Amino acid sequence: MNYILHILIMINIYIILTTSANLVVGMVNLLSVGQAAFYGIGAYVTALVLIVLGLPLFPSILLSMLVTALLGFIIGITSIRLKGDYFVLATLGFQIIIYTILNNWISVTKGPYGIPGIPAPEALGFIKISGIYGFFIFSLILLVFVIFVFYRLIHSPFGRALKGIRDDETAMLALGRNTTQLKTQAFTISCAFTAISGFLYASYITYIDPTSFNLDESIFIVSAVLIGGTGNIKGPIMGAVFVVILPELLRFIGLPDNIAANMRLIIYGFALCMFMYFRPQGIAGEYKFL
Amino acid sequence: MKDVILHIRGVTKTYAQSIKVKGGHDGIENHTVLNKLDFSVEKNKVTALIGGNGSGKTTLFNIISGLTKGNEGYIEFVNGKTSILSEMAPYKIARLGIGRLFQDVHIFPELSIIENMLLADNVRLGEQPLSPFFLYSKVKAKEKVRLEKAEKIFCSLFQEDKGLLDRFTIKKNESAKSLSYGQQRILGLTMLLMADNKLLMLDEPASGVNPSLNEQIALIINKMVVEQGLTIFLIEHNMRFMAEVSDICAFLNKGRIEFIGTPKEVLENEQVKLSYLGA
Repeated sequence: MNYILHILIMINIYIILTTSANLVVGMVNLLSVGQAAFYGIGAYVTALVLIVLGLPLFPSILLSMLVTALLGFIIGITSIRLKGDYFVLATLGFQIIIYTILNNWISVTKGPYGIPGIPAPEALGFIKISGIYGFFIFSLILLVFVIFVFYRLIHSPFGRALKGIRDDETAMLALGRNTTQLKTQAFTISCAFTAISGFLYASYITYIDPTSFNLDESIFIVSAVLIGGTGNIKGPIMGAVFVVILPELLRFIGLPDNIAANMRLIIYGFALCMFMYFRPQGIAGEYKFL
Repeated sequence: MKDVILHIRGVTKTYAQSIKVKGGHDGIENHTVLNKLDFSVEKNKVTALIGGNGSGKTTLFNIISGLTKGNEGYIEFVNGKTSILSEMAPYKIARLGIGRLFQDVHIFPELSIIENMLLADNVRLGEQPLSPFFLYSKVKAKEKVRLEKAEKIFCSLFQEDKGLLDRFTIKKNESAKSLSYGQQRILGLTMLLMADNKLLMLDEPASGVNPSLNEQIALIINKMVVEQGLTIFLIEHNMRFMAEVSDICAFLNKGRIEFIGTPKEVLENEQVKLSYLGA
């Protein structure tokens, strides 16, 4: 039972990651490969806030979201004007910078040793979120909140404007829309909600190190979004479920661990190629990304 | 005195072109598309701009819209107050009430027909990220108003064409890419009415459209000017269509306006015949 709950918690974390990434990747067609960096910032801010400041649940989440959103805003306004491949390269550069900082700023992040013993967050002074059941319910509540927020955003005039940019940015300019501002807003919101995944991951696993937030992880998140499909709510959910469950299914085949890990990456790569070729809109997406 | 909405003053645009110079070396040559162009667009009239391919018609439209920067000169838009367009970002120019129909189709193919119309509204309430949460009922009410406005526009424009009216109203939730090319052009034109524009710049509205839709477009343009009091500045190669819809016609050649007159005068002008219309 604990094993299943663990998988469900990881699925919830990844759904929040892919749903947040979808606002940038699927709604405005900006392929960000720096999502893991924002995920990592959310997790590290969480760890520091819970350990050093000992803040309760809500201020910790808010602070984690705020710091990540602020950084997202700064990266957004500097890179969002870049088109296509140049934007991908800018986010790639940012991803590498953040990973390097997490790995080398020993006095704050403890570098490659990581930060252990992250305490369980407390809400309202008496609810302590701990234990696998506690975290499952907590992650489910956060997931419902995130899905609600993104559902409203996607189905609002704001979401429609983002889809307009995705379809034809020049036409949006000619309709009097400040497309740079709209894209920066989408990017900042995406970063803020990515931090919620970071919060959940750090407080659930209780140990974080930079390898959880490297470039591979960023590509993994974007792959999950593209496999699931973009532009709606269902797609990113399906993508997250697919990428978290797939390696677990491989366990039942009985491959040795060293082969299974590589097989996982090969299968992800293969699945991505097949999806791009045969079903570019992903499992449940409404939009063909490429 | 003429009531002018747009003054184009001394606009010059040059492009650098790479050429082969003596000895087979690469060199750069400046190609002048617009050469100190002066022109005015009168309010509540249909002004057509004609000229050969590469004469700079679309470049001029792009400079007015702010999508391309001119090298010299400036453009004034007069609507109550005077705005210098050359110094403004494209989206700010559009917000003054200058709508644009592009030469190629620029609609939102993945959005539905009605969503395309709603997106064209110039009142942007609900497009701020926090508004779906904190102004939910206001945004919902505004969406209803937008929907009514879109349907009213469809009804007034297509009342003579039941087929087109049904296509845009009964099937309004189908994606815009399901429309034919001509219908997409008409949707683009109709969207310009959602934004309460003052000046519409139409780049070849009749190109690639069958004769019956052409008639429909001519009718829509006429309604826009007569019923809504809009000003239209259009580029057209179809001389029959141009003569049917325009009040004034200007002939652009070698980067300057070489002749202005009524469509009839322009089409009968020897110089226009020689350099553009042919025998």
